[in-house]
Amino acid sequence: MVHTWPNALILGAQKVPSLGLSTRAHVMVLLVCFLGAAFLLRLLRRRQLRGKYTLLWILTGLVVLVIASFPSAVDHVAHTLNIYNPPNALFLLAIAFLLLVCIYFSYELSRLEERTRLLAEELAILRGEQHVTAQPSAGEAN
Amino acid sequence: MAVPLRTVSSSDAGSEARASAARALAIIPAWNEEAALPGTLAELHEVRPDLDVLVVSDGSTDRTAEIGRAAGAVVAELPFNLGIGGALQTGFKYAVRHGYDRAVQFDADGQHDPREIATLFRALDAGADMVVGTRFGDGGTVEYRVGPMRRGAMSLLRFMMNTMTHSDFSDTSSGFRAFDRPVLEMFSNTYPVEFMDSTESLLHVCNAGLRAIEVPTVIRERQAGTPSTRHFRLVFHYTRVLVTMLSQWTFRRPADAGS
Repeated sequence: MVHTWPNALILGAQKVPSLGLSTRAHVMVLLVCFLGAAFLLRLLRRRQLRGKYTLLWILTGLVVLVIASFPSAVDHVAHTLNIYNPPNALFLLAIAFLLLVCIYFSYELSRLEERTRLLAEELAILRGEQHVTAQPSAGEAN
Repeated sequence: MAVPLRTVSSSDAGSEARASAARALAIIPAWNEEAALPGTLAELHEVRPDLDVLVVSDGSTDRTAEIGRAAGAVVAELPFNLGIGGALQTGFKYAVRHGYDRAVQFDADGQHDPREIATLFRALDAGADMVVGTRFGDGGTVEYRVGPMRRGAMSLLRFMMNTMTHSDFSDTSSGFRAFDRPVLEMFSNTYPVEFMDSTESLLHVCNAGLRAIEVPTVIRERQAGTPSTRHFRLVFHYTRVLVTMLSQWTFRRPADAGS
């Protein structure tokens, strides 16, 4: 039973966290973080994910891990930001972070689309020129 | 700067000579236009044998490219559909790299009358950098067969355009346009590649301090194909263009303001 486990099992927790995470929740979070990190590293090993994105998500995972391990950190942050309910501070920061990541991805996507388009245009021009140069030489064939 | 340049026409010998020496390219963006393209190319060649023709097949899956080559045009084949903006930019790049002095954008579906190309080129001779051939009905007013919503959106765009560029365009969306070398060079580097490119590109030209004018031309009903997209997509595109235009707001006065 969760409630009979000694407090020490709750990683680094000195007091009952106000985020109210149970031990089972902690274990779940830890598990998800490690599995996620393993998955990302596997993608990196197979060169299916660029290093910078692997780093981004692994660092994100670390932050989640820290928060899960020391929920009191969130309390301090909430207190500093004058937010009454600590979980709200967590949501605020998480949403802000994800929003920034999304904007960054939109930027990257626009850049990629632009590059793809430029390549297509170059290819089309080359194809056109190839036919033009191919026609006279076919006529003048010796 | 909506000057009806038909009356201006090139009277001085200098511009006449320049016009005859100028190498001109007709850029025809075509996306699955195998039905209309043969007629369009034949008529174009008959009326303007002096023009080189570039068909940009925009990811066509039909015989558009073959038909273009058979008609003697150079065909630039895009590997996938980029939309009108990307197809046009391909044409602009080709024109710049092959040393053309001017180019005319011409519809594959037979909307444009090749006899009117002379009208556009006369405006270039008279000193314009970009000429928009607008659709004029019998009453001398722009006449589109469109619903009230689209009409409203079009007039809003026109109002924004004219306010931002201190000009007086009656129609910003026409696809019957001619460009001189400086505009070709600019467009070969940057051209708005999303839907409704004509409005945005007009703004670019004005903001770059180049001279854009419109001349009235006869534009026929489209021979084949469906006119454009559905309503909810149009709302999205009009809003997007408005935002894009606002982001381009400049406080520099265009070169031709007040002239």
